[in-house]
Formats: sequence, structure tokens, C-alpha cells
Amino acid sequence: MAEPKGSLKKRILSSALIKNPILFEAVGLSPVLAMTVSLKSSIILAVASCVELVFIEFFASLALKKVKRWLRMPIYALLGVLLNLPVFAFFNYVAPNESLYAGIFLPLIAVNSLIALHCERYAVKHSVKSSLADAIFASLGYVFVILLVGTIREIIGSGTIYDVDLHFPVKLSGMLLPFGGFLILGFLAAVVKAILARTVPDAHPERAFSMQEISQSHLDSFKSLVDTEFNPYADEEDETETVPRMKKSAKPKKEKAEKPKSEKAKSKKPKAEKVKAEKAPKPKKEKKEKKPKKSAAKPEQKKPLSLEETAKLEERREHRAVRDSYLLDFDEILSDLDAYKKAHEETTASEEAPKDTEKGGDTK
Amino acid sequence: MTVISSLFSTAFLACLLQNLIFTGGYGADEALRMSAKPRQLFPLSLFIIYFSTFVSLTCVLLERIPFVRALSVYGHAALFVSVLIVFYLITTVLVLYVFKAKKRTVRRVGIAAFNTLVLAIPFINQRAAFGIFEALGVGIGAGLAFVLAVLLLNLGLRALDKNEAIPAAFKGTPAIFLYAALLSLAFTGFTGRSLSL
Repeated sequence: MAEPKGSLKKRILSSALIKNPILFEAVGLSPVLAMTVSLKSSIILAVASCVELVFIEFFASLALKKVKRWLRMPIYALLGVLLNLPVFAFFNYVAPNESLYAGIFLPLIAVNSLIALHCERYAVKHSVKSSLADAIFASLGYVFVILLVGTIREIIGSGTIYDVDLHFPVKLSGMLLPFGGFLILGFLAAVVKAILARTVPDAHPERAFSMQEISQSHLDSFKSLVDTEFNPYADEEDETETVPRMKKSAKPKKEKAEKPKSEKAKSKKPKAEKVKAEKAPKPKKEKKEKKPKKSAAKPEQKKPLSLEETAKLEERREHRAVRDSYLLDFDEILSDLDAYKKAHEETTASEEAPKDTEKGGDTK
Repeated sequence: MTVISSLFSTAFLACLLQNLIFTGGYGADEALRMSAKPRQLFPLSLFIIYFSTFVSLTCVLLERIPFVRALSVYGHAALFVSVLIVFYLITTVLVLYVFKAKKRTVRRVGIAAFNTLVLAIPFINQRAAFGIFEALGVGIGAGLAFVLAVLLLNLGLRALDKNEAIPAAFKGTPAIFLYAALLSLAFTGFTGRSLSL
């Protein structure tokens, strides 16, 4: 089946720019950070990465579809090392100085996450032709970024381009370190994203790097050590948690306000029993409530949020903030009432005490 | 005493003073991706520590054979990857058939084994001519460096996600890269390198 021209253009745009492996998926970063310090070393990295990605994805689509996933991983690494040998021999012959500089980073491409990700995500699920196309387009995006970052870093860090001195008065050699790579990648990603936002408004390249699971981490237990108030992500969970909290805090206070003191003493025992009875079924209820929550949360993580959904989420957050502030006010009013009541009771008790003593004196 | 000091000093070096993720860029993509989805951080980190330590130790022991020592960079790469594959297969078989772990855990074993951080450790040991205890220290330190990097990145990511003042073009990976650049700059400061900015 020949692909129509429109879809081919879309696919190139999608694989090379919108889902750029480095800029938006943050894949295959380590060789880029370490090796792209000059245009020459960037070319070596680009060629080696392209050869490996295309060959391994082709092989994975051709022969590894029925192999178990855990066995495919070492095969990718082994193929990567084997493919590295001729590439390294070629560059050792053509550009010995640059290949020497590449040092340990070129062999590390054998375990580049870009290869494993594309093979697992695409090659083992699609036809050979389609996988080849995916490998070529992804390579295009990868090469585009590598060459651009390499050129920028060489110009800023060494003041040269392809070893030709540009006679710059200032050279920022710090840009040749990994931090320079991160910095340039950040600005490059922002520029590409801004261009995409103007030319292809429906692109949403930020969806390639999902950040929806951040709140789901068990690192939340460490949260209290760092920031006690931090909880901007809990959506449904927070709502269900805050409602019982409100009920717990409001109910006993209301009862206190309604019942006279004498009744309180009478109802102490039944209250304790009630509390016990209430406490017992609670965990079950909570467990029952929690189960469907988890199952409901899972599909949400997978789906990227649309604009409407994000707007709804923001609305919910605002509502929650308003409700929380209202609850706080309500709690304050209740505590004020309690304090006033206590003060009133104390004054009435102190007023009644002298009367009793007077009465006692009369009877005597 | 020298054994303990060499172990701890190399571990400290690999984890803090020359954090391999921020100052070398090794395993940076795994750390970034894990920081966005850190539910499996600690199991994955344990596997990374396990692989980096044992592969590092085995490769240092193999380096004592004169034939291995004479190999080129690519000969070494083939050897190190082979050692990694052997360790991976043994571990996966154990995890899969003895401990009967879930598929998700088995997948994590693959990610923990085949990444640039774990494969870079034997090369670092070989270049620095580290002994057994230094190799052990670097292996453990690399795993701890990964945990530290993920925790720091996760803290930043959560703050970035909360921050609504970030311009639309910088939201997502651009902001994450810039945050990682700042962390990388900070850790480069520990190495004592001159940045000449």
C-alpha cells in the first residue's frame, strides 16, 4: 500500500518534530549531552545512531516479533555492539582524532534507550516497511537535533565551526560540559515548540513527555519533609478526603452546641459505644471506596488531557480552594462559639456558686 | 581501614562530587523519564545498584587477565555488554521463575540493566584503573547517584508543573531541560572544574 503524500508529510512532521525523540520525549540524551561538543563528533554520533536505529528496528520487525520481551532487550544491546564495530572502524579510518575523542560514548550507543523504545513501541507491532519508515523519520529528528546542538556548542564553547576559527573574542568553554547540552536542548525545545504552536496548532508536543503520574508517586511520603502544603494534583481523592474531614470536625461540635451540659454526662457511655460502632465499619467503607478509585484513575493516566478537561480540572481546583477556605472559616466560627460557650458556662457557674453558699448558710 | 575508605570515597565521588548523571550525562534520559513517573523508583534503583555493582566488580576481576587488558575500546565494549547480558539473563530468570514477579517488574529489570549509566561504570573503572573495592564503591555510588538525581528532578518537576507563570513555549520538556541544566551546573561546581563562563 502506497501512502498518500499528505499522510507521509504528516508522519515526517510527527516523528521528526512533534514527537522528536530528544526534544519532546527526552530519549537518547546521554550521548547527546556528552558527545555533541563539535560538529565533527556530532556527525559521528548521528551516523552511528542512525545506522543502529534503522538496522535494529528493521531486524526487530523482521525477526523478533515472536520473541519474548525480556529476551529482546539483550538482543538489541548485542546487535548495537556488533553494529558499532564497522561504524567505529570506518570513522577510525576517516577521522581518527574525532573517533578517539568519542571514547567510551560511542560504545554506549549500544544501549541507547532510543533504540529499545522505538523497537518496543513500534517495530515489534508493525510491518517491516512501516518500521523502516518509523526508524528513518525518528533518525531524521534525532540527527536534526544532534547537528544543531553540536554546531551551537562548538560555536559558543570553542569559537569554531568544523574546526574553522571564527575569531570570537569570548569562548564559553563551560558550554562543552553536559550542563551546556541541557541548556541548549531546553532553549531549542522551546523554539521548536513555539514554531509548532504557530504552524501546527493541534500538535501538542508536550504530550510526548507525560507528567501525569508525578502525583501518583510513593515519594509523597517524603513530601512532608520538603513541603507540607504541596498537593496540587489530587483531584478526586482530595474531594473524598476533605468531605469526611469536614463532617468529623463539624458533627461533634454541633452536638455539643445543641446538648445541655447535664445531657452530656448522661450520654457519655452511649457516645463511646457509638464511636466504637462508627469506627468499626469505617475502614471497610473506605476500602470499598478506594478500590473503584484506583481502577478509575488508571485509564485517566493513559489518556492525554484535552483542553476542556484541563479547564474543568482548573475549575475544580478553584472550587476546592474556595471550599477549603470556607471550611477553615467555618472551623474558626465553631471554635469561637465553643470558646464563647465555655466562657459563658464558667461565668454562670461562678455566679451560681456564691448563691449556693448563701443558701447553705441560710439552712444552717 | 583503607579498604573501607576507598569504598566510601569512590561511592561518595560517584554519587555527589561527580554525580554521574549531572556531570557525565550517563543515564540522564532514564533519570528524567523516571522522575516524571517515579512509582517504581526504588525497585528500579535497587536493580540499577545491583547491576552497576556486580557488573563493575566482575569486569574489574576480568581486567586482571592480560588478554582482556590488551583489548581495544570495542573489545572491551563487547566484553562489558556480554557480562551485562549474562547478569541480566540470570536475574530475569530468577525474578521471573523463582520469585514469580509481575511482568512490570521484569520490564524494570531490562530498563535497569541496559542503560548508559550501568554500562559506563566498567569503562570508568578501566580508565581510572580502579581496584575491587573502588569498583564496588563506584557501582554503589552510581546507583545512589541515580536515586539522588531522580529525587531532585522530581521535586523540580512538581514545582514546575505547579508554576503557572512559565511561558507556554517553555512548559513541559523545555523547562525540565533548563532545570536539569541548573542542577548539572550545580554539581559541576562540586567537581572543581573551571567553567570560564
